[in-house]
Amino acid sequence: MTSEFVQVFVIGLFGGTLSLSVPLIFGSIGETFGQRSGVMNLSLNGMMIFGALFGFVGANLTGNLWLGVLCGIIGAMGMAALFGFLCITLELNQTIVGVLLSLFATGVIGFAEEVILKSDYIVSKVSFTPYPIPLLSGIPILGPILFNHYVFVYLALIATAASYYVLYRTSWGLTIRSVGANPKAAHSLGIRVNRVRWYTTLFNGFMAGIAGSYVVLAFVPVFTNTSITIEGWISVALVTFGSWNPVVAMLGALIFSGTETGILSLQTQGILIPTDILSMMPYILVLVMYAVVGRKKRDVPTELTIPFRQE
Amino acid sequence: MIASEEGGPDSTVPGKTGPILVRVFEVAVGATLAFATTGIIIYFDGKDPISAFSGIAHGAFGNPFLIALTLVQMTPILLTALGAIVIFKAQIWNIGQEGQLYVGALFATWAALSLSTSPWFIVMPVAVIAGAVGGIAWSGIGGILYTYFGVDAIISAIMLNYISLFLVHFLVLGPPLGEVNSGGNAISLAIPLAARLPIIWPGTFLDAGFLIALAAPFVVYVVLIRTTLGYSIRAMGFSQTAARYAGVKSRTTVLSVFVFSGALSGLAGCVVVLGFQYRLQLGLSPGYGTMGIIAALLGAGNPIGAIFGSLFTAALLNGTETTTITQGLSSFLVQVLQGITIIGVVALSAEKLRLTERLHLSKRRK
Repeated sequence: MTSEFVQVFVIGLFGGTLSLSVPLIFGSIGETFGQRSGVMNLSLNGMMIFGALFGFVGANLTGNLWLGVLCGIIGAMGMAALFGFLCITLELNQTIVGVLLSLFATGVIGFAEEVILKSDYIVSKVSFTPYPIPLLSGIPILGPILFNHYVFVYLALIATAASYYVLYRTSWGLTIRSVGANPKAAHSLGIRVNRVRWYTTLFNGFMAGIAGSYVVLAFVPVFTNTSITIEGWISVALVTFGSWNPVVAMLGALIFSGTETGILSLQTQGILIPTDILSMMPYILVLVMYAVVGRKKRDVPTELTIPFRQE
Repeated sequence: MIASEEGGPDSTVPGKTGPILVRVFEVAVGATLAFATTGIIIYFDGKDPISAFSGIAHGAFGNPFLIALTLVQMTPILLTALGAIVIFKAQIWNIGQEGQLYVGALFATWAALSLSTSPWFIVMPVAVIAGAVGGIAWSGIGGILYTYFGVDAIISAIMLNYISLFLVHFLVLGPPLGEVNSGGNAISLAIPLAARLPIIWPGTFLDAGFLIALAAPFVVYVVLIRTTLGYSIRAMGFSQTAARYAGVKSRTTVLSVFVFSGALSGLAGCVVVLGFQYRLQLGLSPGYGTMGIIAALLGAGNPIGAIFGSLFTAALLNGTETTTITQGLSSFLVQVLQGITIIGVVALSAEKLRLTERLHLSKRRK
C-alpha cells in the first residue's frame, strides 16, 4: 500500500506540480524582464495563446516538434511586436493595449480553430515525451519527481537561474533595471531606452511562445480554445508576487501549482468537492497569493507603464 | 503632469473628447481594417466575404424585428460600458464587468424567484435593485482587494470573472434557483411573469431594460460632472500618482467608484435576465462585459459616446450571430471584428500619429 501511495500520490503531486508550473515560470521570467525595463505587458496571456496556436499548427504541419516550438515563438513574438509598436513606439497606454490584445487573442484563437483547424478539439499528431535524465532518474522517489520530465521543465529551472544571473549580475541586467527605474538617467548615460524596452518586450514574447508551445505540445498535447485560459495572467500576478525577482516568481509558481495539484488530487483520494468549487480554486488561489504580498510590494520598477520620450 | 491638464492621460473626461468627426473617422478606419482582414480570411476559407458582410448588415438592421434585437443586445453592452467608463476614469483598470454582470443576473434571478408570488410592482423593482446589488457585491470584492490588499484591479477582475461563471453554474444546478431534479442541467427556473420587464415595442423583443440603459449615460454624465463623487473620480484620473501620495485618493472614494461601477454592470446582468432571456445560465452573456469595454473605448470614454459605441458593437454582435448560423461562418468572427476595430481605433488615437491632439489614450509625463 505504501509503495502504491508513494507512486500515485507523492510522485504525482510533486511531478505534477513541476509540469504545471512550467508555463508560469517561462511567462513570469519574460514578464519580469519586461516590467523591469518599465513595460507592463498585459498581452502576456494573448502572447501565450498565439504561442500555443502557432506552435500547434507549426508542429503538426512540419511534423517536427522543435520547428513547432520555433513557430510558437514567432507567433508570440509577433504579438509582442504589435504590443511594442503600440506602446513603445506610439506610446499608447500599456494597460489598455495589453488588455485589449489579450481579449482579442481569445477571439482569434476561436476563429483560427474553426477556420484553420476545422475542429474545436484536436489531438496533436506529434508530442513531446518526458526525457529522463540518465542515472539521476534512477534514484528512488526523487528520480521520478525531479529527473523524469519534459525537457521544458529542466529548461525552466535553468532559465530561472540564468535570468536571475543576467538581471542582477551582468551589465545587461543593470541596463534593463536602470531603464525601468530611471530612464532619464539611463538615457543621459547613452542607453537607448526604447530600444532596450523593445528587446525586453520581444524577449517576453519569446518566453511566452515557449510557454504556449509547451502547453499544447507537451503538457496536454491537445488544442482547444481553452488550452490557455489564464496562465498569462497568473504569470503577471507572479511577477508582482516575486517582487520582480525571477527566482521568487518561480517559487510562487511552484506554490501555486503545488496547491492546485494538491486540491485536484484530493478528488482522486475520494474527497468529493463539487466540480464548480474545485474549478474556482486556482482563481481564488491567485487572489489569495496576490493579497498576501499585495501591500508589501518591494523594489517596484518606478517607471512601470510610463512611456519614455526623448526630450 | 502637464499632459493631464491638456486632457492627457485621461481622454475619458466628458467634454474633452475632441472633435467627434475625428472619432468617427478613426472608427471607420478601424472597422474597414477589421472587415478587410477578416474578409481576406473568409475568402481563403472558401466563402464569400461580400455575402457574409451583407449578411451581417442585414442581421443587424434588416427588419424591425432585427433592429429591435440589436437594441436588446445593445442594452447590456451600454450598461457595462458605463460601468467601465466610471472606473477607467479613475485610472483603475477594473475589467470585471463580465463577472459583475453574471452576479447581477444571479441576484436578480434569486430575487425574482423568491418573490414569485408577489405582484409585479413589488417583484420587478426588487429584482432590478437586487441585480445592481449583485454587481456591487462582486465589484466590491475587487474593490476591497484593491484598496486593502493591494491586489491589482486587472488581475482580480480576471479571476473574479472566472469565479463568477463557476458560481452561477454551481447555483443553477439545484434549488432554490434550479429545478429540484435538474440532472446536471445548469439552467435556472424561468423568471416569473410579474418580474419580466415589459416589452416596449410590440411584436419584437425590445424590453423596458433598453430605456433604463438609455437613461443611464445621462445619469452617469451628471454624476461625473455635478457630484462630489464625480469630481473625486475625475481628480483621480487626472493625477493618479500625485493623488495617491498626497492622500487624496481615500479608500472610501475608491470603494465608491467600485460600487458605482459595479451597480451599472450588475444592472446589465439584471436587464438581460429579466428583459430578454428569462432564465439564468452560462452563456447568458456572449461577452457583453468585454464588448462593453470596447464600446467604452470606441466612445472615447464619454458616457454619451458610449451609446454609439455600444450600438456599433451590438450591431456587429447581432449581425454576426444571425449570419454565422446561415452562412457557416465562425462564431468567433464577431470577436475578431470587434478586436481589430478597437485595436485600430486605439492605435489611430495615438498622439504620435498626430491625428488628433485630444483623443489619445497615451500616458506620459512632462
